Amino acid sequence: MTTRILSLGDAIFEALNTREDRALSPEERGQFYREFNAGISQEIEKIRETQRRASEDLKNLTLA
Amino acid sequence: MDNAKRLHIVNVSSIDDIRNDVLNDILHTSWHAASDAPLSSPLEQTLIIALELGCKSILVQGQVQDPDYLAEYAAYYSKLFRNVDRYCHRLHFFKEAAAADQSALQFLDTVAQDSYLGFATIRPLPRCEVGVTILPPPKQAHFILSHDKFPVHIAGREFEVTGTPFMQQDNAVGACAQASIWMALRTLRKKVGNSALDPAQITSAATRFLALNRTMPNREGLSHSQMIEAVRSAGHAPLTIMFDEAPHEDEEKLEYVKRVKRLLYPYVESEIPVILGVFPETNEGHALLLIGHDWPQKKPEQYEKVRLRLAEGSLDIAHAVSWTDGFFVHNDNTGPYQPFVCRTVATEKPYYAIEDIRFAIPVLPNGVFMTAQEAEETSAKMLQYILSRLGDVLKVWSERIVFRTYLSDKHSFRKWVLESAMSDTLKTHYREKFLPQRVWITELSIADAYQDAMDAPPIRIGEIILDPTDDPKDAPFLSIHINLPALGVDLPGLLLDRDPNPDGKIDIKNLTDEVVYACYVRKAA
Repeated sequence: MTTRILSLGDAIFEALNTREDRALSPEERGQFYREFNAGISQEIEKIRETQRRASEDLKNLTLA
Repeated sequence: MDNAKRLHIVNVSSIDDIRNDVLNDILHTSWHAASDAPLSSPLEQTLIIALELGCKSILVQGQVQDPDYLAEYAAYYSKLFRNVDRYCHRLHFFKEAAAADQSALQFLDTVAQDSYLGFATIRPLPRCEVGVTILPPPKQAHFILSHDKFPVHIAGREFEVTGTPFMQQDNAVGACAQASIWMALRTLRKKVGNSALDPAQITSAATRFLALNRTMPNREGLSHSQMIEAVRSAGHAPLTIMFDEAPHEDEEKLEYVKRVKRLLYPYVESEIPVILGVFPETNEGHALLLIGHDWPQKKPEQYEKVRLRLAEGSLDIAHAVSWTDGFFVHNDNTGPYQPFVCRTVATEKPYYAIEDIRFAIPVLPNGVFMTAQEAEETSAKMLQYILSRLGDVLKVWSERIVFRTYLSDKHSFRKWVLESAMSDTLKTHYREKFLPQRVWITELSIADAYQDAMDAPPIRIGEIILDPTDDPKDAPFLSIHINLPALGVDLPGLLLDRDPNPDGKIDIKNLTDEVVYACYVRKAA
């Protein structure tokens, strides 16, 4: 028997429309975490790169 | 000193009254001998605020052993050849006037608790008189969010003041950088439980590992690295946000200011004081303490957008910073609760403006590893996942939802849950859920009545709760709730519950007893 692996969006859609609570299967969780990581990594790295540059640029600023 | 003179009460109705009947006796004699000698701006602004708040009398307390000034005295003034007084005066502001011939003690024994406004400490130093000062903000400063409640003891009576501690630099033990750090640490002392260093300790902590010059007198101020070290040594986890120099074209400048406001806004909403390094073109760098924001009326076309990218296209919702034109700062050079706005659109061009910020240091508590920018990115990404198949929701969401992110400790969050009108199922879920010490919360509300959130009917329709100790790349949500029926969608409410531990479950639950509840209105000072 083949188990269906739904994306988080599809699983939510199914649970709400059938009015039946459900838990993501381990495979669905794995898929979600991998997809989320791939989807957000670039934006987060961009934020962190800006912070890294900031540390260098700030060395000589003095406030009196 | 004559004991009778340690406390005396003076009725006042104007700055001139205060100058003639109070200050002439206590300000540094040689500097203020001429009756038209100007008051320093911080002192004048402090007195203006007290009068605006309804001050009718001032109880003048002499020989005050102020711990912060005594530390400055020990570090520097005790070593001067000339005499410098060890003690300060303190002005306590009251809304009630004293009766004729009433002594200070008779006034104190009969005055109502809620007549007490706050106090200003007057150091025995010319030009930098204003020591520890705590007053509530004036009415026009709408949302002063970084504040606390402080007990005040006078001759056996106890009063209370809610506000953000203010202090002017003394220009010998510390400059603006130390004053801003002191104000931030003092505001957080009780809330976070960390130490609040005195000005001398701040200079000492800041220069412990990196001294660029002699450390006393410290008129040169502190470098960014030294400021970070001083804040860190007090037990906090200071974060640095760097900004490029503002562009020169007005249009680009406005876009730049929007970006700056958006990055700072979540920290202000989180009641976290933010130390700002400002560098106007015409002057040297200066430090300010960001403590609140304004609350202007806004129309939908003015909303700043959070763009959610979905398979079917994109969806724009409103960012809560849309309802902020400017901020409020404590500026040790000019006074407490000063507006801090965008110079490009201001009619009266301010000396320091949002365009001048080169860096910001939100004084984060320890254990918050995820920044506000990362939290917003994570919440937006989670919304994209949830909405990806809910086509009906998309039709009603566009431009109608407000997205606001703030950090909350779990006790405050649960207290808000307990007092909220949310459904019993949801209330039980949040009260029982295992949570870290603090959480990032992205609140979702209906935009139509957001402007009147304090008085309007409840408009909050959901929230995303994130674990601030986790990595944003690992989908670190703990709970997500969206009240779909409140949006007119024919579906039950959605509750996503995640156990963050390895192999932890992700549950999708239907909520059938949904209620719209009020958004989190912080108690501004």
